Amino acid sequence: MRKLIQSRVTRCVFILIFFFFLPHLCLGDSFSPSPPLALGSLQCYTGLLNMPTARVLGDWRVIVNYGNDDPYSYYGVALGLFDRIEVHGQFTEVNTIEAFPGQGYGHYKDRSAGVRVVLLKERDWLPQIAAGVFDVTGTALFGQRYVVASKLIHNFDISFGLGQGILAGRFVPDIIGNKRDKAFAYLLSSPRQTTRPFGGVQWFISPRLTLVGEYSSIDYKNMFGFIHNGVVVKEDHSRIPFNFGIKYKIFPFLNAKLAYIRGCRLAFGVNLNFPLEPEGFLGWKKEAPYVAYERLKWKAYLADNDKLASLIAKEVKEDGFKDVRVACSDSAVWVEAANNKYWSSVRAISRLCSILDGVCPPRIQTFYVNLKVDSQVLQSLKCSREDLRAFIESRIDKKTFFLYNSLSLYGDNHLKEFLNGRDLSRFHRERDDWFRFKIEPKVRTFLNNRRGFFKNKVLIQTSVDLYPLEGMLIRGQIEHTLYNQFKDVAFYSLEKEPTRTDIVLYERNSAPRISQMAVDQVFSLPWDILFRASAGYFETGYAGLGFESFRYFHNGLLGLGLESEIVKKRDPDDNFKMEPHTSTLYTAFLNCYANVWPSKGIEVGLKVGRFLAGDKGVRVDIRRSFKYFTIGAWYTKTDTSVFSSPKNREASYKAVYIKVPFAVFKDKEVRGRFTYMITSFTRDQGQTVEQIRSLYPMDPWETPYYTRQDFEEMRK
Amino acid sequence: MRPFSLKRLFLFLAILLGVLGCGHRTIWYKKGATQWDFNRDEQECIALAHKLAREATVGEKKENILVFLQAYQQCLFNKGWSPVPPQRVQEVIKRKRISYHLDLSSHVLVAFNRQIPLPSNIVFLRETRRSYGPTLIYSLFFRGKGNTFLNLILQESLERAFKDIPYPVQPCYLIYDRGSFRDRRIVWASYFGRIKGYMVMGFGAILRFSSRQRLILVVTSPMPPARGKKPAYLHLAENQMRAIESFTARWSKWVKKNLSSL
Repeated sequence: MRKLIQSRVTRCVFILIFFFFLPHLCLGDSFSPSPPLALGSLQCYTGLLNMPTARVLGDWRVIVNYGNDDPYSYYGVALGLFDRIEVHGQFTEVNTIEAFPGQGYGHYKDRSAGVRVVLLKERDWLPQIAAGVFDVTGTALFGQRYVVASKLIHNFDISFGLGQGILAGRFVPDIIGNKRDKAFAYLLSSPRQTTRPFGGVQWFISPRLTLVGEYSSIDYKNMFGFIHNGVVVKEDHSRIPFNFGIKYKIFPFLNAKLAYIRGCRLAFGVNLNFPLEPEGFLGWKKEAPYVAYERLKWKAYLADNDKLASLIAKEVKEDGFKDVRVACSDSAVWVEAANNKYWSSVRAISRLCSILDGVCPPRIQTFYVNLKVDSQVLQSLKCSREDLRAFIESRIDKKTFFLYNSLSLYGDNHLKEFLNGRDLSRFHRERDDWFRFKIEPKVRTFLNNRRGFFKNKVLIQTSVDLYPLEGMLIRGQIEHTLYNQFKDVAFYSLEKEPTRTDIVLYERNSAPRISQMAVDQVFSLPWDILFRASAGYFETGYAGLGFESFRYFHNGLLGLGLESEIVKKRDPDDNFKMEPHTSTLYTAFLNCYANVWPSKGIEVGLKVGRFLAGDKGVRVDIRRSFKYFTIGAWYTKTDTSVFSSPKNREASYKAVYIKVPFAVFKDKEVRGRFTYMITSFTRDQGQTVEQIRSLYPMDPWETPYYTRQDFEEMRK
Repeated sequence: MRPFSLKRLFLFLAILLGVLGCGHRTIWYKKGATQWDFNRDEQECIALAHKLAREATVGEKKENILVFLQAYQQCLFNKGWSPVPPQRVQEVIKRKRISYHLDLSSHVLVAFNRQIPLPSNIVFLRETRRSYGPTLIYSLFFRGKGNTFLNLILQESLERAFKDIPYPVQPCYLIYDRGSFRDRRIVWASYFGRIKGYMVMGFGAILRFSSRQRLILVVTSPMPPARGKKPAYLHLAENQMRAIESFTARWSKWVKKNLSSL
């Protein structure tokens, strides 16, 4: 009787909501989306409701999704790449199964990741064809492989596919048997296995409203969550193999979905769908153009070279640049500045050129404009004042401009030329603030522990940065814990002298902790090699010495560096003591960097050498830095014979991360990004020591390659 | 085991309706205007605000929402619309006046509950009173030595706060220099230009007493004709530069000394 009432309630709610949208349906203009939008499904990937389509998200577009289809709750993210690929990942919470009964973890949660690749793009009469896999590493509880075709006919996007795994009504662990990485084994397994068709239609009624119908090939009786270890934990009440639903765009970036699944239950979801654009919701306000007033011009006109250099240095600093150094000769000016204003180096160069052109008297005909990173000139533009004006006024093009003027990686050659000028002034350095103070809230999360899925530590982090000398940074950082669940975490050291699995010992304590207290000095060595040396408390667990060198080659597209840290363990309970019975550890790496596909921002980094526990190996870091966002993943494979714990011996430390520019949330261009990283289970394998600054990896946008590419921006 | 999460669904729908339902619409008024007039003006203002909001951003693709709202409101203000009923504005303006007292013997202007010192050797010429929307504007004109004219403007807005802007210099003038005192509570500019064939130099300053009360000082004086050749990238000859330099130094010093303590 109760089921009957529920079933009626469900149907009534669905019908009511359907009729609520009916006026929109009637009023909806006839329109044909071009190209058809890849709309979010109930799950993290784009698709119909539970079935995939051949559509993928547009390049650098993201969906953040929540879906609820009893007994499953989906929390996921999908990312579109190059208009051809969609990668997606999600946590699936299964409310019919307790993961660690009695330990407070709650419902079972499964991590899944997948990818879909467009094999053939839609043409006049050809459909778009894509192939995809889902749940490709780990338990394969929701493992699936498929090929699917989608074709837009008028306002109807019709999809038809063939699926295996759960899309063929199978439970993948049953197919694969007792293998360690079932999902990966399934991925490589023979294609000759049970295959079922699936498909559906999306009807784009208006730009906001879409109706969906699909034939679902899933057999819920075999799904994890309905059956567990051979015991039925939830009855499948499916009456028809069809799902119907509505997708509605509430705001341009917010979508809601409501579906009637298998004629027996309601499902719903909501997702954020937005492009990764640094100019976020507000749009960056344009900066007022630089104007040199008559008084300043007169001062510059009457000034000798020394005074002129001082005037320019002051003006550049007042405009917001840092680490400013200026010198003048009779006919040329040399300006160095750190670009802490703009994401684009071109905009920084453009602004510096405007200041020079506005202030300098007519006798100054050559500008040397240098952008510094970590106190080192990384790119240097030498240009004639006339050519610069001609380029900005579109009288000459970029190619002609660079025929007579040069942009180089590092500034040594230009400096030699400049120093040959007549009547040189001394270099005027504008002093920056030598003190910076920052208080920020931090949340540290321990995910997926048996004592609870989310274990958090909330703290206030206070940092003081001092800049007493050129290239020197002294940082003191103290953490005050406000809320700490790390003491509940069941996570224990795996080795006698663990490098990282004792992390809970350091985090469980709620007393104030000095997390960093170190000095770091950067300076240039011959042949444009940048060198960094540091000493002090680098992180809550380690203190010692650090050394690093790095040099770019080939316009910044390649880079090579060396890095080493020699550290000892800190006492977890005493801020000023070292652990007495631990060895001195050291790392030694060769760091390699390559921007392999610059126009798409694809970069590869290699860290080869000895990791903290003495395990030798390599960390491969593949990332895409595009539109000032970076999304990447790294994978660390080392010789684990140095470990005694089987968990460490089997480990390969990996992570996915995203770096988001702060400017997304601002109405003006500001530098700085925050990083969010999800790593695999903490092990002692493949570990490194955090440093207060690092030379590798750097932002690719600081290099001459990108400046040359975007040089047309000088005209804006 | 939960058979069906109706509770979650209703919570989801409630949030959805909440999001859809939030919003507030300003009612705009204009004496003698109809809804049709408002629709026409609003359409024009929306189009203009979209354009300005796009042009205000770096890429000119996105719109700056704040600029859009400001431009939209400013445009409607400029077309005579006000979020306050016109009767109320008129009533307030009628009732409200800026009370001031000019004491030329002791060179003091008392306004906004402050004693504002006046420069010596000036003669009071006349006073004008007007209002622009909900802003009352009283101008006091003085004449100083050597054809120097001084204008003190008392402004009080009855509805909106004044924006924090640099001293606005008319396009017919070129700026000689700009500056500010006391955390931008006083902003000033000195400028020059050719008006009806004569070179003129000026000094202007805005002193904000509160978000709705401010004093504007404008001083203009003739500039000597150019002697000798002007350098190629400059607008003034050296003797003119010397003249405006001392004029600027004198008035900025006076403002700093006499007005920054108010």
